Amino acid sequence: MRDLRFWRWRRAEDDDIDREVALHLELSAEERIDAGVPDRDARLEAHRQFGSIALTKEDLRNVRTGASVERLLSHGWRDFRHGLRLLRRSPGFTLAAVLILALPIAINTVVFSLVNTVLLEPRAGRTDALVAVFSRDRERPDAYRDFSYPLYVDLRDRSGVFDSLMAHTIGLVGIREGETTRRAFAEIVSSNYFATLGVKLAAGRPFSLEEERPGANAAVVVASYAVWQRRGLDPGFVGSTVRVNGTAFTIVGVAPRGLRTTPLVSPDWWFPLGTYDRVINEWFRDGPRGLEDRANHALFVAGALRPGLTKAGADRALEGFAASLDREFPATDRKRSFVVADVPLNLSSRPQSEAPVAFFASLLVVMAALVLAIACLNLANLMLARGSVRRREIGIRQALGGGRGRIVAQLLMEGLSLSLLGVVAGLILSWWAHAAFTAWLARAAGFMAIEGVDLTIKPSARMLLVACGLAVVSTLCFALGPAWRLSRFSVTSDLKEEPGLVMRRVGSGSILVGLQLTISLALLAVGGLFVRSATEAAAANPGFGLDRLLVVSIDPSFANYDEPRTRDLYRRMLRGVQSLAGVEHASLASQVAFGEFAEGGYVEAPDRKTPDVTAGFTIITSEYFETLRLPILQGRGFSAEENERTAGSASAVISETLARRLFPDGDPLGRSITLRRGSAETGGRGNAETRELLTIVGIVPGTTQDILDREPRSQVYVPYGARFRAAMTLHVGVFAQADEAATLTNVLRELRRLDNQLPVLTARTMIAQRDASIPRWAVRTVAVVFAMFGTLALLIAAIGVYGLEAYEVARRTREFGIRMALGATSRDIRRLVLQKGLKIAAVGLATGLLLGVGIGRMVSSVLYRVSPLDPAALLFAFVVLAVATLAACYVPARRATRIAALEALRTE
Amino acid sequence: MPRDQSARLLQGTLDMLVLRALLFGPLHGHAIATHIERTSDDVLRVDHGSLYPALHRLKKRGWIAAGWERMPDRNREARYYRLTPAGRKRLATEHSKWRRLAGAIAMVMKPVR
Repeated sequence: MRDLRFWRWRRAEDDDIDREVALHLELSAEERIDAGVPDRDARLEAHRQFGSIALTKEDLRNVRTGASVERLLSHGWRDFRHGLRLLRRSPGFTLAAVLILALPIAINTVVFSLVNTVLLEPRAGRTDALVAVFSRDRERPDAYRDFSYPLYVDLRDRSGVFDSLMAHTIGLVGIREGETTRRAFAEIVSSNYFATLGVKLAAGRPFSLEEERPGANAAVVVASYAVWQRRGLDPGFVGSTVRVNGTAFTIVGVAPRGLRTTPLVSPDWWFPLGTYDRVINEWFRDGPRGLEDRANHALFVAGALRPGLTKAGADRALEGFAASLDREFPATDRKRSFVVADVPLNLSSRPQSEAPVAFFASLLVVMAALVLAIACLNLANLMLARGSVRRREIGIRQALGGGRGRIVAQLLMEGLSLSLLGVVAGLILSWWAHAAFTAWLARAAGFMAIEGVDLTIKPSARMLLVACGLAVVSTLCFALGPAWRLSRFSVTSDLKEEPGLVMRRVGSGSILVGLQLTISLALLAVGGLFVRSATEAAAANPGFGLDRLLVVSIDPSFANYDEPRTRDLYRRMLRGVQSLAGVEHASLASQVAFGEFAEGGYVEAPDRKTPDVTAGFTIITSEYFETLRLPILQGRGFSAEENERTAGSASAVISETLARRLFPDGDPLGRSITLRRGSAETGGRGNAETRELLTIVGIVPGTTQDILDREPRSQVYVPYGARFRAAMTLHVGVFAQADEAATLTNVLRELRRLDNQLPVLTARTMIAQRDASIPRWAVRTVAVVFAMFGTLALLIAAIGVYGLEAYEVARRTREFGIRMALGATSRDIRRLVLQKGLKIAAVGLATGLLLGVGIGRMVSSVLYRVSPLDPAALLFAFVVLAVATLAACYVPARRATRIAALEALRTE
Repeated sequence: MPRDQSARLLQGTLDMLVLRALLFGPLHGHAIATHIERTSDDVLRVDHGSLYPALHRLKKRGWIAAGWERMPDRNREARYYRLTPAGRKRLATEHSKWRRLAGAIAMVMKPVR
């Protein structure tokens, strides 16, 4: 309302002034006409005598409005529009400046959102106030393991330490949707899980104590809010059924909206512990033990302490409890000690300090802020360089009585209009970046063929606040310094074109610019290394036949198949697929190259003369080596009979790489090896390790399983008859003349014919499998990120160089003019200007190359077959940066010769 | 800033002349200019462009007041300015200051031999 009144009032005042001036002119003219001057001349003379009407009106307004808030406002608005007009007049500068601001602002907001989501945002319910309990060996304080269900119940009911204690674990389940089965993240939880977390279900009820009892097998499930949303928030959702691993489960509840149990990822389904034996996937369980077994350490435990009890107090109280366990369960729970600590961000068997996360997060924030600060400094330089062109304008304004405050205010307003544009562009960019980042995370989940992982990196209100703060800060940073400096020129010297020594650069200077060149070259070089690495990886030969190979991952356990049925299914499947047209060979393997899971163990030579070797462990059917076109170098492959369950079959085929390391001298055939698996060191949950004695019957060449493999892996292959595995990958070799896509369709049709509910997780060619593999995607992502950062750094550095040079030219224009008047050619002047820029560039580029090589060495472990000294990548980065720097130097240098020539003519 | 100072001197003089012109009754802007020019035998020429800012400045300081009134001899309105009591007092001080200054200048500028 106030604003409106102000404008109306302004209008009335303006009318007064207009009327008064018009009357005056009329009276003057009349007077002259009375004196005999012709009509037209009289009017002209009257105008001439009056002088500039516009100027008078302006003066009148200034007198009238005085130093009121209105005046400040109207001035501010006018300056802002003036600033925008100036920016429109030089679109190149504006675009560069907006970009240089927008990119760091986008990076800052994304980084902030990430840190916000992971660290700052409180976790669901009262998670932050809960404690996690960890179980460790009293004699080996470093050996932690998880909890068995009976131990959890003892802790909950008998230790007297906890107000409320819950247990949970994670798994993957097969969710049937229409004709397909998808893998989904699930959590298997105790009945008091949601109550302990302190969250209320969005709909329905939590699990009952009866549903938690091991073996209860009540087919009930709680869905995530996201799942409910995907079903359109159907009011009949609670009470409906969902097919999980082939069994119908009743949905009894919906978790609260946005419930996340780890920082980024949240499960879609929660199952009661009573369904553990049915729901848990073979990847997430150790051996065949059930939930009620005290030796099955399957659960993570967290809860609320009794009021008034500290963590240290709880630790002491649990000592007594541990002592009683020694007596009661000497076989399974002896010599434990319990540690109570904060709930870790991610599920963990041991207490985690979040300090590294916090450190990493603050490092990210500092780096992002640094990028913005450097961008602002460069902009300040650029503004100063531009400002020096405007020195005369400012000098004139001062001579006309423009106060210093007004001039500073105007320059600040110009800065603000620029940074507002930058922030708006930055926000748009960051919106896009958020979406891209979320998609990036979702793709990672997508590669594992896991459906509906709820990822949440969202722009927040806090982030918008941060962005606005950044705008103000950046305005102050890059506009205030130059504004102050520019307004300090003495009127006389500027009108007389004597720059004097008043102007000095804002803080930065050549060292800063040199440093920027160094950093951007290093980033570009490392980006180049990763790009090269990605292309090399794509071209690499894994040691087996990549082409004409189809891979189809199947897990019948998601459709409730038990071992005999699964074996029968696979037997019929192999027979059926092998008889299809176009199929040369078909076989099954427990692991697939470029897959997301790798299984392995330690291999001991019988006499243990050589050190233990880590090796991949793969269960295969006959014809596997033929399917992958791997020649058998020595001995034999597996026969079709070995596909069938055989008691005590202990034959193994090993890779040549493993043979060489275990038996450097002598024939490996017929020798025996021991495969050690399942111990804590091989990634198990602390359950007893297994040892298998195997006899070597054949040798095959080593293969790489992943694009980051430097050399062929050591492998142990055992026949399907010796070991059962439900999740297998069907490998299909296709005849050269057959069509791959058509054959894949035929294979899938055959699978559906066998069982139209069969959970097929992925079906693609081996080439597609490689292209979608996480390491390859990661290498590509890293390459893109580095290239992006490198480009940003390049842009910032180029603008830095340009600003520095332009400033230099502006400062020395008069000198150049004199030089030219004294006979220097424009080439001489150009050389003079270029020289200084190139000196900085040379130093920056040289150190940048060194830094690039240094970083390259540090990341060389993930560089695929590319040396950190790769000439192509280094040369590319060097040339790009050198060209950009040269251009940034050349533009002001050219301007110098042009201006200088004019100047020489004018002043001398 | 030399230009600024000269402007102020000029301004001060103009202010005094305006106040003086209003001593005998309200006048509009054009009449004030004409009055100053006539009474100085056209020696002093008022820069019409700076007259109105001067008027508004004086008004803002409360030395003169303004209002739209019908012009006596024709059928239209003009903005008439009149001296306020504060303006009258101000004119007196300006006048004595001016007399002192003019006397001093006259003394310095004794007829040259």
